Formats: sequence, structure tokens, C-alpha cells
Amino acid sequence: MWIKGGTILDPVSGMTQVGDIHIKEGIIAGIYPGGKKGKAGDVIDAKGLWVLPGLIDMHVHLRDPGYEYKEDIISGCMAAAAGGVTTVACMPNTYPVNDNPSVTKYIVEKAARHTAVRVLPVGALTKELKGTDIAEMGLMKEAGIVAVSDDGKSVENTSLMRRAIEYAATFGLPVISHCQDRYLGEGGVMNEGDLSSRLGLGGIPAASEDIIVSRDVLIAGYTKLPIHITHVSTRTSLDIIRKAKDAGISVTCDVTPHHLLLTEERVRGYDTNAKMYPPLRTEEDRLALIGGLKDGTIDCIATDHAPHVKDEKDLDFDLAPFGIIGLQTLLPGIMEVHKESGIEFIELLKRVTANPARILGIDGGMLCPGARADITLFDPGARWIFTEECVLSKSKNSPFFGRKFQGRVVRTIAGGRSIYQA
Amino acid sequence: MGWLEALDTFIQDRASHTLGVQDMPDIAMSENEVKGILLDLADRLMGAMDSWNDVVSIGIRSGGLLVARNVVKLIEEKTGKQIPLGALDIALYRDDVSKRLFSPEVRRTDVPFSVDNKKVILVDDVINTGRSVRAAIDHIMDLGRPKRIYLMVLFDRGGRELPIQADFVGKLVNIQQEKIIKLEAGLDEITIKDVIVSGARK
Amino acid sequence: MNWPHKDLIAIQDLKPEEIGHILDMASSFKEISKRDIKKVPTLRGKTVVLLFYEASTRTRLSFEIAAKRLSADTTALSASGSSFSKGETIMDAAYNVMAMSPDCIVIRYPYAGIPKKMADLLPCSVINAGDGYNEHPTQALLDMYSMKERFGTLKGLNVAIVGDIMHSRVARSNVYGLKKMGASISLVAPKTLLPPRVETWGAQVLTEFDPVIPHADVIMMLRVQKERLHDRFFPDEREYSFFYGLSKRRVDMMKKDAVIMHPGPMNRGVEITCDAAESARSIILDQVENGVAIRMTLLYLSMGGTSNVD
Repeated sequence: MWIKGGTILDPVSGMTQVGDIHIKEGIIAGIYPGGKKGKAGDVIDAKGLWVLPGLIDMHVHLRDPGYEYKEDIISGCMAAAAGGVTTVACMPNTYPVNDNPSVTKYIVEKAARHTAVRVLPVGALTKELKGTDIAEMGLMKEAGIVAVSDDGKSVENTSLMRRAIEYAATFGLPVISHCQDRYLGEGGVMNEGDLSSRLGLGGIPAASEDIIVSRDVLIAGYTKLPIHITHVSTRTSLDIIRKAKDAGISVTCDVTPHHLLLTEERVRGYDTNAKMYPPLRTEEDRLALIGGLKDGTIDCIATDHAPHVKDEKDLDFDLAPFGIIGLQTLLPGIMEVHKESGIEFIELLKRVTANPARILGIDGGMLCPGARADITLFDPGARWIFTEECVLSKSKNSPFFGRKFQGRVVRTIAGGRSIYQA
Repeated sequence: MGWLEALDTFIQDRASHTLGVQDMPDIAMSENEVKGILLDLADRLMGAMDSWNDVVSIGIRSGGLLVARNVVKLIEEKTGKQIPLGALDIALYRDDVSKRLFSPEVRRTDVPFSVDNKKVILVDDVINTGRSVRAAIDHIMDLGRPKRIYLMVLFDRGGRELPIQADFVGKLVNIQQEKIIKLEAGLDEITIKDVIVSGARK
Repeated sequence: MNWPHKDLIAIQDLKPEEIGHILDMASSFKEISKRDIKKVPTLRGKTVVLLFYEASTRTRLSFEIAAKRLSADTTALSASGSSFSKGETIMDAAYNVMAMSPDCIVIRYPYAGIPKKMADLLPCSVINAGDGYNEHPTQALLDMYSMKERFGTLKGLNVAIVGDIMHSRVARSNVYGLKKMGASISLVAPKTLLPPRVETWGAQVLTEFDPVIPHADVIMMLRVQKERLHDRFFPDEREYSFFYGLSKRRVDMMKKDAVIMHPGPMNRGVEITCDAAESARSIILDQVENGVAIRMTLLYLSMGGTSNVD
């Protein structure tokens, strides 16, 4: 297969020029800047399109096993493909929890049977995510996990968090930390501040994230082991991470597209599609996060794709579950950030390709000969409106319906197979 | 005459039947002299034993073992009979273990045969107070039940504190109380090259 | 050698020559246990009191048999059912015992430091049978004796110690002792069971078991305490035994003449399988036999003179 005439953007090599890519048996056989006189085989005309490495979303909830009514591996990967995402790391808060090799194996095998998207399970940090006993990280690693996390909650017992980090390091597993003080902000449903007061909604102070970020970063420094902080939302958290990096502590972090584009203002009107954890924060926080992308403090962008069906979200703001989908608005969202902030698109692209690959310790996120043929074709000029009809996920809980985006995924190739075509 | 003196006289009497009492000067005895005494001991032992079937030899480490090796070798040369030989370490049977300044050195007891119903030739290089022999007899009793124990010593220097006498004495000697007698073996660990009388009593 | 110590508290206190002396003497004492009459009169009239504040079968039994074979009188006190559990402090108990003139106290205590304190304050001999996570000197001595018996020397021997190093006094004493005698040590455990700053112990530290196996002359498996499971140091038995257990597959990777050791008691199926425990390479029962000999040696050295002073 040949992809001809597109603008190849590869953050690793820094390539940004028009060229052709030859794919053979699922692998990139050659990249030809400037093009190469045609050989036989299928040809995809990529003229006017951007040719990107297939995206890696390192924080996705596929809800499978246990909550298949919200999403499952098949539908989730279809949504991923439509978003140009060819690798997803899926979180363990399934039912049963992915805290043992049997569940890991189930996920790996189901994905292998039904989709060409690479599904990389993240195993639980503690058994049943209860925060009391370390999960079987070693056996899960043998079964295929790439990282561990108790995402959805923090490990309350600091001593256990320390032991869990040490135990994960024994097997070379990255630890992904969701930072939330359980008690500070308990009962809150949006960012605590003027707006929450006026709207009469319980608030979650920024400090509830900052405190645990600070704790986890300090443990990482003390044990001299790495840690990855996921969905950073406050400027103080970002500051703490920045200082920690300067001090030589091995910490990395990611933000969601919605935290880069939206603020707590979106909650006015009590639309539960603006309810997620961490909550949408203030404009200062949002701008600080963009600053974090500029100065390199933020390593990755990940969606925290969290499907919930209409019946669940169609409740009082206080009662609706936290979370929104995001796989299909990832790239368009990045385009928005690029337009607003002026940050080079290829710099932002790195946050969803090479950087997550490095942090997870996996291949991928780059276009080079020999790499798996995971390629996304993106039309940077296409203007379109994101609506419910576009969504391939089983759940349609997004705050971006009706939003005008510039830039659209037109084709996604995974392992040399075309898995999505607009 | 008190009974102690009578005993002393008795010993002297018996001694006069052997090679004669000699005042041992503070110089070593030569290898050949020692050889002569050993030959004599071997001869007398051969004379006393009517059969060798149930005879075994045990030497007290380490001087007694040296003497026993020689005697066993001589018997073998003369009769062709190989007498089983064992080594006894008596450190754990001493009666003065906790009265000494430091715990005495312990070496191995190595008696690779049964002593039950045997005639045991117990061998030591020097008999003095008799306490070592008593310890050795106790030790042998813990190993089994011999038919008879004979005591053979190379030198008898007197000075008994217990009523114990040897059946076969190589030579009676008379040296100052503070001196000790030590045998020095050659490289083959059998030939007794020198008998050293030195000043330091352990 | 004139033995200069009244007590035996820690391997750290012994010089290499002293350790060598103990190992040399032990074979003489080992021979006694092979006789019909397993007794010598050496320590006749001496009183040995065993104060065991922690449950123990084999160590206590070993010390008692050792003392009795030397003709000493022994009395054992265990933690439960005595004034110990009525809240009496350990030093009060020790002074009380001392008033009855024992010649030697053998103490096993759950917290570090008490045997040393007793040794400093009491006139009798004190032998440490294990204090908290600190030291278990007689175990290390019998382990070293067993290795020397097998290999002839400890110098240059490659010894791998596998398991809960963090909470193991057996590991600590063995590391001190083996280093003094010139052996090379590897410590294997998941990161959560390695003590902080273990890199400073002078041993090779690994979190993976398989790489050390083909090079080790001795593989010493430590007991995994089931209590630790729920103290959150590792997930469960099946994961532990998969990555750190001595399975048949791992035994087959061992050097031809390498041996398997374990201080006991074993958790079959967790840190060691039946195949390993019963294989020809296992010298676990030799260790127990040697334990009596080593303890006899120590009792003899500590009590065998009037003036064994430090």
C-alpha cells in the first residue's frame, strides 16, 4: 500500500515535508520525502492531507468487562479509529477490576480478535482498587499490562503507595497516578470557587489535587523511582511538577483536551456533559496548562475517555456520574489549542505520539521504516461541526456537541489495515 | 610408714624391674633411644597378648596417638597383624574444664570401630597426675563396654593424684614439676625424632 | 585460641579468625551426636536458662539438646503463660532469673538490642538466639559451617539469599559472617522486601531471581512470613512463588554441585517446592544437624572457662 502526496509530520525525526509512505505486510517499508515514482499496490491519495503517526491515547476507559452497556472493546476501538487513535491504554476500573492476569488476558485476547487498534491494558495498583493490598503486578505483566494505576481514586495510605511504587518498579511497570484527596472536596461536583457558590453546587478545591500531586511527587523523589501524574488540571499542580522536574525527580504528566479548551464556565446551565473529574477549572488554570505545553512541563495529552449512557448522565448535576468521552475530539481539540496558543502542531503531536510511547515503554508514535504501520490521515483544513451522529462510541456524553472544529481525521490505518475512513 | 609412702616405695620397687630409674637431664632423648623404648614396649605387649582378634588400640591426642602409631606399626612388622587404631580427644572429659582460665582446645575423637568386648590398649605419651587417663577411661566407657582396658605409656614421671597405674611403662623419668615433656614427630608423622623437655607448663 | 568472649550477641562482633575457630571446633562436637551415648560431662553442673519470647521450635530444641549433650542442666521459659505476659519488663525478668545463678542465658526476643543489653548488665554468659530483625548469630554460624562442610572453604563462594531480606535477621547475620569469611553474596527480593540502602551492604542486589541461579554455589531461601502478605509488601502467595519461589524449573538451572539451604520452617509451595526441598541438592536437614554441633561449640566456648571476658 502506498500513501502518496501527503505532508508527513513525524515529531521524532522532525520531518515535516510532502512525501510518500510505502506499507508492506503491516510494516512501514519506506518513507520517501519528495515522493517516489509509483509502484503497484493500493494507493491512497493523501494530497492536501497531513500524514501523522497513529495517535496513542494513554488514558481511556473501555468499560469492558462489566459495563459493556456503556462501551466495550469493539465500540471503543471504533471510536478510537475515528479519532485517529491507533493505540489505547485502557484503565482497570472494569468489573471485575483488572487486578489479576485472567482479566488482563481477557482484554488482550478480545482486542486481538476484534480490532487492529493496539489495546494495552493498565493493571490495578491495588487489589479491587481498594487501596489496601498490592495487586498481582508481576503476573499481570506476564499477561500483558503496560502500566499500573488505581485511576478513579488515589491510594489513601501513603505507606502503601510507597510500597506499590517500589513493587511496580520491581517489574519495570510505570505507575500512573490519579491525584485526589478523598476527603477534601468530598461531595463536590465542580471546581470550588465563586461559580460553584453561585450555582449552589458542591465544590472540589484545586488543593485536593495539589496536595496529592505533591505527596506522590515527594514519594517518587524519596524512592528515586518514576511516577506519572494523569489529568493535571490546576496551575499549582503544574507548578509542583515543574519544580520537581527541575529538582531531578522522575515525574511525567498528562492533561486532557477538555482541560485545555474549557473552563468551569461550561458548567453554567448544569449540563452534566461538563461534569468530570478533575472538574473544569478556572481560566487561569487553563492558560497555565497551555503554558505547561509551551515550556515542556506537560509530557502528554490523553483524553480520559469515560463513556456513560444517556440514562446515567440525564440526572441532576449532583447525581450524574463524572466523565465525558473524548477519543473523537482529541485531534480536533489539539488543532484548536494550536490555533489559540501558537504552539507548533508538531510539538503538540509529540504529546500524543512519541511521548506516551516513551512513558509506557512501548514501540510506536513515530513514522520510520520498520515501524508498525499505524498512520492517521488528517485534513487540516476541513471545517465541520461535531454532533451526536458523528459518535461511534456507545455513549454520547460530550461537551463539544455543536462545536465547530477545524481539522478532521479522514483515514486511519492500524497495522497496515485501514480501520476507519470518513 | 604411712600408706602413701608405702605406695611410693611399691612404685619404686616395680620401677626397678624395668629399665631402671634415671634422672633425665634437661636435654632431649635421641631418636634411637626412643626407638629402643618403643621396641621394648611392643615386645612386652606381644608377650602379654595371647591373641590379637579382639585387640584394639586407642591413642590419646596427640602425643599418645603418636606413640600408639609407632607401637601398632612395630607389631605389624613383627607379626603381620594390623591392630585397629583410634584417636581420643579428652578435652570434653577433663575435670578442670571450668577451673581453667580459658576453655581448652577441642579436637576430634575418631574411633571408627566398636570397643564393645574388646581389649583396648589405651596409649599416652606421658602419665603424670593420672587425670588425663581417668578422663580417657570415662570417654571410652561412653563409646561402649570394653572387655579390658590396658594402659601403655612411653614415660611415667610420677606425681600421681589418682590411684591409676600403667600396665606397660616405657621408662620412668624424674624431672622438675614445672617442666613438660613433648614428643616431636618427623615429617611422616610416625617417627619420633625428639623428646623435648621444656620450661613452660601450660 | 583462647576464646575472649563471655557472650555471643552478634556476628558483627566476631573477627574472621574467631568465626574460623568456631567452624573448626564444631566437627568435634558434631561427632558426639553420632555416638550411642550422646553425652560428654564437660558442662556438668552448669545451668542454662532459655528465655524464648518468640515462638520457636527448632532453635529452642537445638539449644536444649546441645546443652544437655554437654551435661548442662537446662530450663526453658516461653513467652506465654508466665510473668512475661503479665507486663513484666524484659530486664526485670532477666534480673530475676539472674538471682537464681544461671551460668548462661539463651535469649530470643522480638525486638532488637535486648541481648546486648543483657550481656552488658548480667554476669553470666548471654547467647542471642535472635533479636527482632537484627541478628541470629548461631543460625549464620551453622549456615556457614554447612557450606564449609560441603565446599571445603567459604572464600570465593557465591551465595544467593532469596526472600524477605528486609525482615530477616538470618539474612543480616549471614551477610556479615559470609563477608568476613570472603564469600560473595547476592540478595534477591522484590523491591518492597529489600531494606532501605541495601546497596551499602556490600552484596549484589537483584529483584529478579533467575539471573543469579546459574552462578550460585549456594541458594539460601528465606521463609516468607504469611503475616507479611497482609502487611502489603507483595500481593499474594501465587505471585510471590511465581517470581521468587524455588521451583523445579529453577532447581534445574542450578550449577551441578550447588546446594539449597533454608533456615526453616519452610512454607512448602510458597518460597520452596517439594521438588526443591527434597532434591539431592538440599542440605536443609544437614543444617539442623549442624545447628546442634554449633550450639554445643558456643556453649562450650562461653562457659568452658572462668575468665572468658570481653
